[in-house]
Amino acid sequence: MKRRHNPILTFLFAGLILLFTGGPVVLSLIGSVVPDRILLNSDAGLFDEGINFETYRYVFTGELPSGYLTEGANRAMISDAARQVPRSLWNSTVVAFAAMVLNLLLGAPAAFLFARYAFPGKKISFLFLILSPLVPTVALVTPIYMSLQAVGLVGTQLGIILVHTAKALPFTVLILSVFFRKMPAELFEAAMLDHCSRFQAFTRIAVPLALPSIGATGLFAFMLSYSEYMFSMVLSGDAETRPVSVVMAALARNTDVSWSLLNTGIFIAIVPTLLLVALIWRFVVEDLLGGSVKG
Amino acid sequence: MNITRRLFAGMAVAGAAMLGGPAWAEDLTLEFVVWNYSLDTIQDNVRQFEAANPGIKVKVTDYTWPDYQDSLILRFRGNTQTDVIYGGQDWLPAWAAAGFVAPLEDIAPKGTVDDLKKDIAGFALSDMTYKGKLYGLPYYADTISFVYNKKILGDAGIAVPQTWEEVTAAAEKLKAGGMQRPIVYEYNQELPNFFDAFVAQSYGRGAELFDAEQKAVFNDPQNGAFQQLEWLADAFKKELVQPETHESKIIPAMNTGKHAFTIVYNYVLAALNNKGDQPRAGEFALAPMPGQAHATLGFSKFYAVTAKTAADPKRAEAAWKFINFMAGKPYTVAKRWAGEKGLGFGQLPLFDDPAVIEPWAKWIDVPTLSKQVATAKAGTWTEWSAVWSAYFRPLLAKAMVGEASVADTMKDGAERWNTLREQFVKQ
Repeated sequence: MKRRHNPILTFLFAGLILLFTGGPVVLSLIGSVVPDRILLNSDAGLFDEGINFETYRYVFTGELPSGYLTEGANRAMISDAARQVPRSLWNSTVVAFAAMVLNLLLGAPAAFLFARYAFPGKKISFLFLILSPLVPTVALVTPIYMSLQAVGLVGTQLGIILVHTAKALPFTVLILSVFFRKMPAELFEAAMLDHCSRFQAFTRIAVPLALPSIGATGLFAFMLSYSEYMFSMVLSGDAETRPVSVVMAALARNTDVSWSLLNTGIFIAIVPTLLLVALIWRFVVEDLLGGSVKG
Repeated sequence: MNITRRLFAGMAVAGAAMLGGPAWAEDLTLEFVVWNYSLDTIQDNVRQFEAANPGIKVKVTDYTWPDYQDSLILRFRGNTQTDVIYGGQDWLPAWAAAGFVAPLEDIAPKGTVDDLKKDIAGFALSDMTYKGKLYGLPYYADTISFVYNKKILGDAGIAVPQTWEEVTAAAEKLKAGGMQRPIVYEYNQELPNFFDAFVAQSYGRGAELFDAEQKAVFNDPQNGAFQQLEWLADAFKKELVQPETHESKIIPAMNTGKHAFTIVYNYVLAALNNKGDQPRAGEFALAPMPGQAHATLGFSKFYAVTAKTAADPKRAEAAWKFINFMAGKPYTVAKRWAGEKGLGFGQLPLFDDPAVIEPWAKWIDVPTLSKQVATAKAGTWTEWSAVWSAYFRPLLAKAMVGEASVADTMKDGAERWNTLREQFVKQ
């Protein structure tokens, strides 16, 4: 007998999840369009002065909100760190996209080799690769910084891209090797009989069959890079290369950022991320889970 | 054919040289590393310096405050070009001992530093001095203050507390009147400020945490620091304290009108009283630090030059020009920070400068501040201070919220300090 869903419970849980995930977004939106003097005044109604987009205008144009031009105001709570948000979103996108591409270019062939071929040192190298993420990030900061400094890559996007690629690579190899391992061996035996090289077997058979999984794994690498903070912070030199994770940390920790300006920064940073997640997350989950049960 | 080739090659070289310009005419670019407070003002100051000093460019690199020191050490150890930096009083002994920074006397024209020293507040001078040599000029210098809400106290008929016991009494009265947590406190063991604020409160009681030989004495129950930790633990236990993780969160918290007291840097008071965006601007005031002595902790953040730069005459000359522009006479940049951002200053003549005092009078009682600066004391900063502080702050945090006893915390902290002292003194 098929059990029926309780619609009330379903709505209750869905509502809780929505509140938990969407609540902060709504709060940051409200916080960004209501000035601090209203937001923090328990005697005033939230929308007594209506809504204004002055902090958004400041972020995109640099024009000061009117509150800072009033008599007795000082500019202690407005900082151009907030103005770095739009640029940092672009920087993060560039870095994450490049890290994703590099991950797939390097990770997919490696995963295929690990999955389908025997070679000396295979087990130990696979273990090394898979266990390497267990090393705490903070322990790697100094040697990686010094290595990149030696080759002049500190303060460049390329440096961050390389590190993010290296950080995501073990996951890419692990996930894709599972997919490649589950492919029927007969496919590759037939390919060999037809005089396919290993590379041709990879590009003409394995990749097309694993394309959805490769895409999902790539998106996973994209997201790992997009949200990474530690290396982005020490390796990005200035606003020209700084990813959004670093800018948001600066906004959240500085005293010269008003509450409404912080919320504006958060909302501007959140929207593209939300759109991205809404568009692709379903595919990531479907493909990763689908791949794990298909055989 | 050969002549033609030579001519062609010669012309190419000459052309390239002309296009590239002569090497001696190239701009020198100083690498200026800061924490990212008010980058727009920093950049604007830099632009003004560059306009006044043709041939010298300044590239600003910034890090978030909590990551600043670690990032800077990475730069030092990674040999990343770094010329002028923001320094801190708590970091100076370790940096100087490690040879990361150089005394200003090494790069400044003779007599200049001595002349500037005369204008600097005693605690600030102490903070920037290591083994008798001056390593910086003030970016800002400030005191940690006891801040209260005038309106709340006035409405409740409470006088400004003069001792910590009076603070407790006032907070209890406010709590009885419906205010849940009258005191907002920056409670974050990760931040060095967490310890500094504790020292400031202890100075209010007249405490000395270390003796003349830099041995810890705060584990004595009669010591003011010991008593202050007891006071804090009691205030937390009575639920009089609202902990906040960062001073930036104290500003909105105090502006909700749900809290009456806090202990913060003066620039936070400037932000609290900012009519531009704070609903209760004007309600906040500074009072002498409670306690019999009313003293507090003064500190200085400063511009310093790296040892690597000091060793390069050309860069050293440019770095001195830059530091002197940012912190030297006629103190234009210090005035700007003070006027626009409410940052304190280590240059005492600014207390008599209308360009500073007039804007400051809008958010702080200048005579009270002036008295506070006069009685402010520097912290005890040693090569092991930062290591010890990182060890002690979590203990302090636990004791405040009752997870450890005050006696055990102070004993543990003092033993650790004395052990480190012995190790470093031996070296």
